[in-house]
Amino acid sequence: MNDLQLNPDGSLRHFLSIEGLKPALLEQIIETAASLEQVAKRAVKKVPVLRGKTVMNLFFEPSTRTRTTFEIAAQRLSADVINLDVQTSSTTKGESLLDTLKTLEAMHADMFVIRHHESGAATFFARHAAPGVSVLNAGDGWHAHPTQAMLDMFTIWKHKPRFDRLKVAIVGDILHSRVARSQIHALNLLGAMEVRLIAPQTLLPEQPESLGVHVYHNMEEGLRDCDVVIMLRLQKERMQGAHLPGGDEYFRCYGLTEARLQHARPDCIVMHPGPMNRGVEIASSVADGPQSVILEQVSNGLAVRMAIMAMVLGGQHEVRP
Amino acid sequence: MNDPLPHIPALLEDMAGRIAALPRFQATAPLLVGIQTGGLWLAEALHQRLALQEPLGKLDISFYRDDFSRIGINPSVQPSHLPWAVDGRHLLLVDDILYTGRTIRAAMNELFDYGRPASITLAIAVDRGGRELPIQADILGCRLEVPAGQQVKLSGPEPLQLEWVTHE
Amino acid sequence: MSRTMIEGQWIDAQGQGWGGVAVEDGRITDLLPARDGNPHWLLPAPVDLAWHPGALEGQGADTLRAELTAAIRCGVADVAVEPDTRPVLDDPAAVALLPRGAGMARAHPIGALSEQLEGQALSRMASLKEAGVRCVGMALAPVRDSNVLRRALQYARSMDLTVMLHPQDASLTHGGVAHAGKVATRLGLKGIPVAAETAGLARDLALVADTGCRVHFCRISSARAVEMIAQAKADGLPITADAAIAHLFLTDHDLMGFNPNLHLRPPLRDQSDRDALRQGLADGTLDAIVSQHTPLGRGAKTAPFPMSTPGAATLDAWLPLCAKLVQEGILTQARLHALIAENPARILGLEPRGLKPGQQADCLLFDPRAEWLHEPEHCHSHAGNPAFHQWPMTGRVRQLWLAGQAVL
Repeated sequence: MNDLQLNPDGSLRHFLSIEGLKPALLEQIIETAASLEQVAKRAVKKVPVLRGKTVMNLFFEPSTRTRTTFEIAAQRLSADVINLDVQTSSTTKGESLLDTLKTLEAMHADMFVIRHHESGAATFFARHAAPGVSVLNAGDGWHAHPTQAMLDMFTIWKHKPRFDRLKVAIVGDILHSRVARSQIHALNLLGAMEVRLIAPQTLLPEQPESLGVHVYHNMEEGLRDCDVVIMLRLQKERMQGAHLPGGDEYFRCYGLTEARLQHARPDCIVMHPGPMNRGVEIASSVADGPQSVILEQVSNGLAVRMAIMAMVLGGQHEVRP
Repeated sequence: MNDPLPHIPALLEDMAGRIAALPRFQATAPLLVGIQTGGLWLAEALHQRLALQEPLGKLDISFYRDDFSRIGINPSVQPSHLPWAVDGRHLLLVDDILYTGRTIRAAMNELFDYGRPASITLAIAVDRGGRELPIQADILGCRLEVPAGQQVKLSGPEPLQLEWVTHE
Repeated sequence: MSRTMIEGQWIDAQGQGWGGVAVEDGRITDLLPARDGNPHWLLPAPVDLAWHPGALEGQGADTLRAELTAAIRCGVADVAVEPDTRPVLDDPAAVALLPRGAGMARAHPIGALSEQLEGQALSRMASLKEAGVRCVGMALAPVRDSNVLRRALQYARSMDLTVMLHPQDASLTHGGVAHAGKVATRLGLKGIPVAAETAGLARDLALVADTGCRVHFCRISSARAVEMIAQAKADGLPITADAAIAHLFLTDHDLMGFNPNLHLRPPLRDQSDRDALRQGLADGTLDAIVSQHTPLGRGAKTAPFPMSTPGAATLDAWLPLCAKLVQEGILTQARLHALIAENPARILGLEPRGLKPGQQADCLLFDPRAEWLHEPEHCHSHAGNPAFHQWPMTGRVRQLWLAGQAVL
């Protein structure tokens, strides 16, 4: 779908969504991330790849955590980083969004890392970006969060390098989750044996099977024989929007407990893109338990974001005269 | 006709002898670092011949290349791995072909991001001429005249041999 | 007494081919026999049942004049203006703002059914009727309160007005920006389920049966709603219905890539819906094809998809794409005449239109072979939000006559 994000030679021009990318490119991201991991362990925690480049973190939806990982990633690649939290209301016109972009472009940004609350926002900015300016999607509405999905793939790969043997369950609020959408595409592209979604229908999008997944409404059945379980954050306001009943019913049906985890394979790893709601979607004993790789996901985020930034900015030679 | 290419095992034998004789390495043995890919093969062979105790380090200089913004990222980048601290140590940096000198500059930049070595000695199998930076080998296998339109390349890892490559 | 001939081919509902019309005093007197060698089509002058021109004052007035002038160049002589203009067409003063004049298509107002289209207080329908309104509607706005709608239908019937409704259950439509289907799932867009249309339609049909009011259902988008309309017609309800041109050529699949020009209300649905709409037009379930031409300023679409204003400009593509349905064998020429001229004229309460002796000579000559690319330089509309940008088009208007006078 997104030819917008590729250069004519197939390298990354922008990074907007996993959908539309080739498996080899995802593998390259994972391998590049593996090469960049050691940078954090050295005396000088930087490589000079992006020396002289300027990365602007443009966050229309506040997220200190994600913004910080992008900031550190860019700095470790020797780029200059500027952070901008842009306060917008839902009535902010698209034109003024674009004015913001154009003003910053005039300050010679090479890359925008953009988070926005509307689906398609990253595509919108990429479509209007000047030649030689790249857009990296740090989350747009419910649509995509491709760097999060890639760091999750990197985490899985480190534990279980053969994707074709994996059964992966994604549990919870898939309807509103850009992370889940990107994970599903990435897992299917990397050849996962089976991707399962476990959720009540109120938290699933229309015709979820069309994404290439199997749907389960029952947690125990869905977890059976899984190698990887990815828990999604449940926003408490879902209980007001009639997506869910109140009280602890969600946790009783879909919360990941030690007892439930028994249904998965004994070496199953437990993931969560964070931030967690302990006792809402996941029991503390599981989140902190031996099968949890949740903290590892956070540290893997750095290498993966470095890899993607280096690949995108390394692809700019295609468009620069 | 191109010159006949030298036999790599003989070159290595000769280089190993001269490395072992360097005064700098008499007190403590050097730490060997090979540059991906050809330099690493040679470093492995030298490591064996010199019977060094400490493991070999490997460098992938993809993130240090000065032409990154022109040619982009190397799609087959490998992790660099130095299994020891470099501070205060004598390093022996190994690569297959010395051409412009830019690879060696990148490698030295990368090494200094790991720490401050006491010294770096450069061992090269073939100096093909065409230097653009003031960098030359301390231990050199041989010099080769390379005609325009030709490249010399190391193939390996088994057997290690030099070959001519013709460019269009 | 001058007698003129207008030559062009068509095949009537009985399968009889004709070669033109003879005109005297602005009326068709005779049909001319078919003859070989004239590739051009003759059609009754089209009537477009749905425009959303936006502002009527200030710059908006100039824009609307330009679009109505462009309409003539596109062969469209009559357009119905939906009441969601600024100001809303809920009183005669607003209706009087619609521009009139030579060289422009005639803009026929659809009055607002309720004040400010809020779905609460009834509009002054009798006054609107005195100002020339023949239909009242809600544009794309819902009437949430069924009791208000029942009263509105009763009152409109008393005034002998046709009511135009966009069937929808507002709570199911709320916040949605795309068809609730596979594409919305992929793109993470909030969906509008087919049930939003069918639940609304079911209620509206119940109220038509209850009140006996004549109702035209606007912009039917789903296969299920087409079935319901067919059933309601079979039951004898006094209803008509239309579909918009975009919904006959595009589906939600075209949203991949987040093209904001395809953010439409109702949303583009899937292939089976598109096919059912085409079938409904062919078999008589649906009565009209509208352009739903919604010219918007640049800013309206300069935004991420969900934030963009719904609506697309379709003026230049409307006739060529309607003709394409004939060329693709989906519609007969006679059916096309009904869908873009005869039925819309009747629904709007205009003088009967058609290529028949005794009728006013409002006709269009169309070259069905002319090929062109839908690009700004080849379009008459100045709108910056075309639905069919870069589409190859076949067919161009050659001449337009109103009451026997060439206006193009």
